[in-house]
Parts: sequence; C-alpha cells; structure tokens
Amino acid sequence: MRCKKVLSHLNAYADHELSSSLSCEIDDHLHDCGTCQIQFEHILGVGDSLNALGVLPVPDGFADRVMTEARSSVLLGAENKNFFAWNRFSLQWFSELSIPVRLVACTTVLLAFFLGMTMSREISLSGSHRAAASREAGMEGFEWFSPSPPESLEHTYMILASSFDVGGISR
Amino acid sequence: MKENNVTGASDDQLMQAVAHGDLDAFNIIVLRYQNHAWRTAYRLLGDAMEAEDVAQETFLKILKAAPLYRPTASFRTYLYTIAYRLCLDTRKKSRPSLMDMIPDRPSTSPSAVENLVSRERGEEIRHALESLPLNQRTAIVLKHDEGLSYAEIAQVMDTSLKSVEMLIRRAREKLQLKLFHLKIS
Repeated sequence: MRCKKVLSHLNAYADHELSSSLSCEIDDHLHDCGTCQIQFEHILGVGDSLNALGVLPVPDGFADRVMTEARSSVLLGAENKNFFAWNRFSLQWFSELSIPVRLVACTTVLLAFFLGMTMSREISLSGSHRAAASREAGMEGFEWFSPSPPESLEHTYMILASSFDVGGISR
Repeated sequence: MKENNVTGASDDQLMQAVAHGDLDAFNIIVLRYQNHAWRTAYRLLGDAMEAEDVAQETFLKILKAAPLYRPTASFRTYLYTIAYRLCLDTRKKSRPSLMDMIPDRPSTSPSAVENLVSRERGEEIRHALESLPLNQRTAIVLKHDEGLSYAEIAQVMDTSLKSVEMLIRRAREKLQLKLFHLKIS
C-alpha cells in the first residue's frame, strides 16, 4: 500500500472506522513507514490534547430546572388540550354529519336568516303604511285596530268609533 | 411507571413511558443524558449560559415530541441531532461571525475541572477548538468527547460518511497546526 492511500485513511484508521482487512494493511504499512507513523502519532496527539480538556460538569441544579420547566409545559399543554377538546366537542355533531346533510343544514340556516330579514322588513313597512292610512282617514291612534277582521271586537269598536264623534275623532 | 422500574429501563422504554405522560421516566432521561447534552452544547457554543439554554431546550423538545418518537435510530443520536440543530439556531441568532467565538471567559466557564493540564494550556486548546468552523467542531467533538461513530455523526449532522471523514480530517489538521507551538500534539 502506498503512503498517499494510507494517509487518506489514517483518520478513519485512528477512529477504528475501517474494515479489518484495510486496518491490517495500514498496520503493516505503519510498521515499515516512519513518515506515516509520525503522521499517525500527530493524529493521536490531537486526540490527547482534546482529552486533556477533561470532563465538563453540568451546572448545579440543571436537572431540577429542566424538570420544573417540563412540569409547567405539561400543565400548559393539558390546559390547551382541554380548551381545544371543548371546541372540538361543541362542533363535533356537525363534523359527524355526511356532506349532503351538512349542505342541507347550512342552506336551511341561510334560508331562515334571509326569510327572517325579509319578514322583519315587511312588518316594518306595513306598519308605516298603516300609520299613513290612519292619518289620512283621521283615525290616528287606532291604526293597530285596522284592518280588523269582520265580526271581531275590534271591528265593532271601529264601527262605533266611526259613527260617533268621540274625543276629537271625526270623519 | 414507578421510579424503581424506570431506572433500569432502556431509553426506548423510557420514551414510551414519557409519551404516556410519565414525568418520572422523563426525569431519568434528563439525569442520564444531562452531561452529554450540556457538554456538547458547551463545546459547540463556547458559552456556559447559552449551552445551558440549549441543553434545557433539547430536553423540552424531547418531551414535547415524545408521542411522535420512533426508535429508528439510537436515542443518543436523536438527542445529539436536536442539540446540534439548536446550537446551529443559537449560533445564527447570536453570533454572525465565527471569530467572535473566541472569548475570554473568566468566570462562566467550568475550567476548574479542566486542570488535567494547566489552565493556560486548557484555554489554548479550547480556543483552538472554538476557532474551527462549527461543522468541523461538531464532527470532532462528537467523535472525541461523545464517542459517536462516523455513521452516527453523519446522521446527527444530516450528511454523508465521506463528509464526516473529511470534516474530522480537516479539523485535526487545523488543531495540529494551532497546537503545534504548545508541543502538545
């Protein structure tokens, strides 16, 4: 084996990362080649320097601080989970429906909404129309009795009121 | 899971317990790996405060991700992967220049324990290590300090075996040059 090839594998050899056959070849070469042997010793020397840095101790109370954070994050996670679970539950019945039923439900709600809007508009318009008609007929204040169904009590009152000149009501 | 059961449990068993909300199991993991997480973060960042933050964040991420954990690789590799990524993020946020990573730290560094060589020598070696680019430093630290194989380092750094071999080779060459005057290497 040539020096160039040995040097290219020397780091992996020092780290025991080579196959046994390749390691044996490099072993043999290093035994015979002083230059490569020196290079190999330099690599080992770097390792010794790094080892000389020693073992770093963990700061005091590190594990306790981690556990405190962990407990608070678990509690926070549980609160968030409950909140989202409640939200999910409130709409769960809807998500369990099939798509056509969901469409029908949505359409019904929208129709009811627009119908309600239209009816309220109609009522307010008819009320103002009735007030205007009453004013024209001199029946201001009695507009809510008109139109009253025939033979009803209101109808009788209206007839009586129209036949007598009572309280400034005159025809 | 009771504490006397979890102390002898494997990492994967502990992670399963953590996934079910067992904080005792998580405590065992923290105690088992706090040295590794802290040491790696400190070697990569060169700052005790940042290293503690990263190590703590590493464990909290493990806790949060426990339900998703699948034992496809060793737990150790998984932990180093998270720590390495957090170190990368921290480095990007805090220090744009690699030359800034050669500080004089009088009190925050735990160099009292590094008295296997003289304090000055220890500082020189540490400065030489910190002057390496982060990827070369990571590769050499994971190899020397943590004893990971090239394959595991490649997994942690999300790179190829060849790249790891190259990173370690370059890191050693640079360290050799920097430490030559100390006649250590």
